[in-house]
Amino acid sequence: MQKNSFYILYAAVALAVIGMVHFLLLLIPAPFPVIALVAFAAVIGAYTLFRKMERKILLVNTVSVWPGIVLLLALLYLAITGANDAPVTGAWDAWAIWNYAARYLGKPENWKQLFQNITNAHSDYPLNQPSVISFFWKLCGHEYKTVPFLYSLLMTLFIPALLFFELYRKGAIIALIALFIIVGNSFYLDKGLWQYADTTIAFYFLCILVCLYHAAKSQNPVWMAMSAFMMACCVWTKNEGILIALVSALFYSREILKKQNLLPFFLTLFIALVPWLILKLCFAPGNDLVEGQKDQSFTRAFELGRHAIVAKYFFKELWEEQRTMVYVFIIYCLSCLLKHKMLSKQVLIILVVVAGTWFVYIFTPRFLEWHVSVTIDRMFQEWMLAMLFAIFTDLFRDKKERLSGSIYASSTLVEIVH
Amino acid sequence: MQPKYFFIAFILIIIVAAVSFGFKAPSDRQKEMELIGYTMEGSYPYFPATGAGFFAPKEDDAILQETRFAIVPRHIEPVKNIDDGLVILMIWRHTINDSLLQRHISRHVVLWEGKDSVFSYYLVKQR
Repeated sequence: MQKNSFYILYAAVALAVIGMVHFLLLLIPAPFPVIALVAFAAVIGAYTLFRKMERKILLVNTVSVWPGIVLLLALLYLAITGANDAPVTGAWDAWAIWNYAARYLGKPENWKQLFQNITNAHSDYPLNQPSVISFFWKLCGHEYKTVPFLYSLLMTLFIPALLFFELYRKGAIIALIALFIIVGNSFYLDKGLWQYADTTIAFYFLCILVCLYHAAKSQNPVWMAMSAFMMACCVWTKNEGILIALVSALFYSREILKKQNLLPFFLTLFIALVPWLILKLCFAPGNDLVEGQKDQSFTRAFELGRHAIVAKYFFKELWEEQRTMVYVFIIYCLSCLLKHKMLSKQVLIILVVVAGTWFVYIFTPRFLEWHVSVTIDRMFQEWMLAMLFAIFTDLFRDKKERLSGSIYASSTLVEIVH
Repeated sequence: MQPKYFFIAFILIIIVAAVSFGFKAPSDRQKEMELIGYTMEGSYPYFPATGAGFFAPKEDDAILQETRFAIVPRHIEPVKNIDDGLVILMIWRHTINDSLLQRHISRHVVLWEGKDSVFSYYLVKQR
C-alpha cells in the first residue's frame, strides 16, 4: 500500500474516533473540555497504533512528483469550485437531518430531545457525521457554517485521493484516468457539498474495499481489524451502512473466519460498534421504513409496477449522471467475458448492495415514486466510487506484477519476516 | 511524492477552500430575505417546533426559545405554537397540489415568496 493511502485511512479513523468519543461522553455527561481532551488522546492513541501497524505491513511510496502534482491540482480544482458553488447551509437534508442532529448534540442539557422528534424527522439515523460536526462547533465556540462544509469537503477530497493512491500500483496513467473520471463528473462534487452523509458513507465504503483487498492479498490480520473498523464506521454513518457491512463481511467470510483473523476482526468490530449499539438500543426511535411494514407488505416484491417505477428512475439516473461509469462497467463485463472469468468479489459486493437497496425501495411504505425520485441520486454517490475502485482493481494488473511478479509475494515475505 | 509534502499541500488546499467559502457572497435568496429583515443565518441550521408534525420539541426546549421562526416542510398545516412571529413555510411541491397550497397560504400574510426545483418558500405572518 502507498504510504499516502495509509495516512488517509488514518484520517478516516481519527475523524470517526472523535465522533464516537464525543457521543459516548455525552452520555455521562462530561463537560466539553474533558470530551476534547479524551478525543484528542484517542486520536493520538490511534496515531501510535497506526505507527505500530506501519511496521507490520508493507508500505511503499512510489508516486512520482508529476502525477502527485496533477492529483493536488485536481483536488485544488474541486476545493475551489466546491467553495464557490456549495450551498452555504447545505441542501435540505443537511438542514433537516444531519446539521439539525449536530446542533442538538451541541446542547448537552437537552440533546436527548432529538429522539422525541419522531414524525418524519429520521431521529433514528446514526450520528457519525453530526457528532463530528458538533464536536468541532463546540471546539470553535460557535456554530460556524464553515465546519459542516469543511467536513463534507474533506470527505469529497479524500475519496479521489485514496482512489488515486490505491490505483497507482496499476500505473500512473490508470490512477489519473480514475481521477479524471471523478473530477470530470460535476454530479460528484455537487452531491459531495450538499453536506449529506452520503459522501461520508461512500468514503467509508471505499475504505472497506481497500482494506479487504489488502487483507485478502497479504493475509495480515491488521487489515482485517481495519476492515472491521471501517464497516463499523459505515454502520455508524447511515442505516444503509448495515447492508454494506453485512454484504462485505459475507463475501469475505472465508478470510474473516480464518483463525488469525477471527479475534482482530470481531473485537475491533464490537468495540467500534458500541456507540451505534447504545444509540439504537437506548435512544433511537424505530425506523420509519421498517415500522411501516404490514403483514401483506411482502406481496410488494411481486408487483411488477413497483419494479418498473424503481427501474425507471434507476436507469434514468444511471444514464444521465453516471454515463462514464456505464461505459466503464460495460468494458469491464466484456473483458470478463473475453477472459472467461467471473466479476470480481468486490464488484459483486456492490451489485448485491445495489440489489438490496432496490428491494428497500420495493418495500418502502412511503409513496414509491416520490421516495425513489428524491433519493436515488444519493445512492449512486454511495456506490459509484467503490465501483470505480473495484472495477479498476480487477481490470488492470498491478504494475509490479506485470514487471516482476506479485508485489504481494514480496509483501507477505516482509510481513512474515516482521 | 512524500506523504508529508502531500498532506501539507492538502491542508493548504483545505485552508484556501475554507477562506473562499467564508467570504462567499450571499445568494440572491439570502439577499431578498435580508431586505425584509430576516436572514437564513438567524435560524440556521435549526428549525424549532411548528406544530406541523415535522419537529416537535417540547415547550421547555431551550433551542425553541432562541427563535420564533419556523419551517414547515413537506406539507402545510396551520402554524401553531408560534406567537405572532414571522414564519417560513417551506413546502415540498411534490406532495401538495396548488389549490390546497393556496387555501393554506391564504391563512397567512405572505411577505415574500420564492421557489427552487423542489420547494416553495413563503415568509408569512399569521393573521
